[in-house]
Amino acid sequence: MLPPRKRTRGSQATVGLALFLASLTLVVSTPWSSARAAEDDETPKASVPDTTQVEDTDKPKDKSLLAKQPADAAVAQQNQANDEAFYQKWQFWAITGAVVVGLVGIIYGGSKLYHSLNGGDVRPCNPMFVACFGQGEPNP
Amino acid sequence: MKPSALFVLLLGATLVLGCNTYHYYDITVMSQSPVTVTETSGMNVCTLVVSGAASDALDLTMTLGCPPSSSNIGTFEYATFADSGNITFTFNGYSQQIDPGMLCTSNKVTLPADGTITQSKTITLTSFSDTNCPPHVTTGTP
Repeated sequence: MLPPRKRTRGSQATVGLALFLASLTLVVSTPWSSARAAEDDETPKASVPDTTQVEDTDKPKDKSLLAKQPADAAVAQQNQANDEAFYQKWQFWAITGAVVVGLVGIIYGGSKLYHSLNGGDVRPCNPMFVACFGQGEPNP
Repeated sequence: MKPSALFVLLLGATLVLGCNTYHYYDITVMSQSPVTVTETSGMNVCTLVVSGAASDALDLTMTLGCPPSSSNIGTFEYATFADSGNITFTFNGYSQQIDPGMLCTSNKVTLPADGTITQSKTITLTSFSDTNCPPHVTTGTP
């Protein structure tokens, strides 16, 4: 049986170093740790105004150029109009009305034209006559 | 549709459908000597036959006033689309019904069916059949 090994000085240093690194890792990785809090309180270096980086040299100085143009409003309105159903558009009802009026006019005018081409109305019967006969007359 | 196409369409419709125009014939019927009103008053049925460019058979009994009460029996107007050929109007007066054996008087006129809108003519009754239509005999009570 071997005698128990006596701890050496080097192994003790190794164990101590390992414990230190573990505790350090624990402290750093914990969100509520003082180290993390201190880090969060720090002002980002990026937020430090740096005139050479923040300023956009391409940005126009004239404020009116940055304001919304009428074209933008028209495009927005166009997009809104595109979302409407076809029967909600005035163009649909305008075209529908024009088609209906046109059809009524064609039918009415066609019937009048057809009637005219077929002789039109027979002239009224002379009251001095005893009767009127023939085509277009009410008498058989 | 282009206007020219519409015009062609209307022109084609006009040619296909044709263009009818009314033509009017005013016919006067009257009796003349030796036919007397007494004789014509025995006609209870009057007809008018249209032949030629147009065809028709008209009963004038009610409209023309049969039996007639005067020598001027009346004037009637006949309308037709016919515009070519001849059109003939024949007046027939019957004693009781439409029967050749009861024909009292007849006469006719022929007119050209042309583009004239209104034409007038008179049918004059100049003959009367006393055989078919004996005069009324008033018989007294014995």
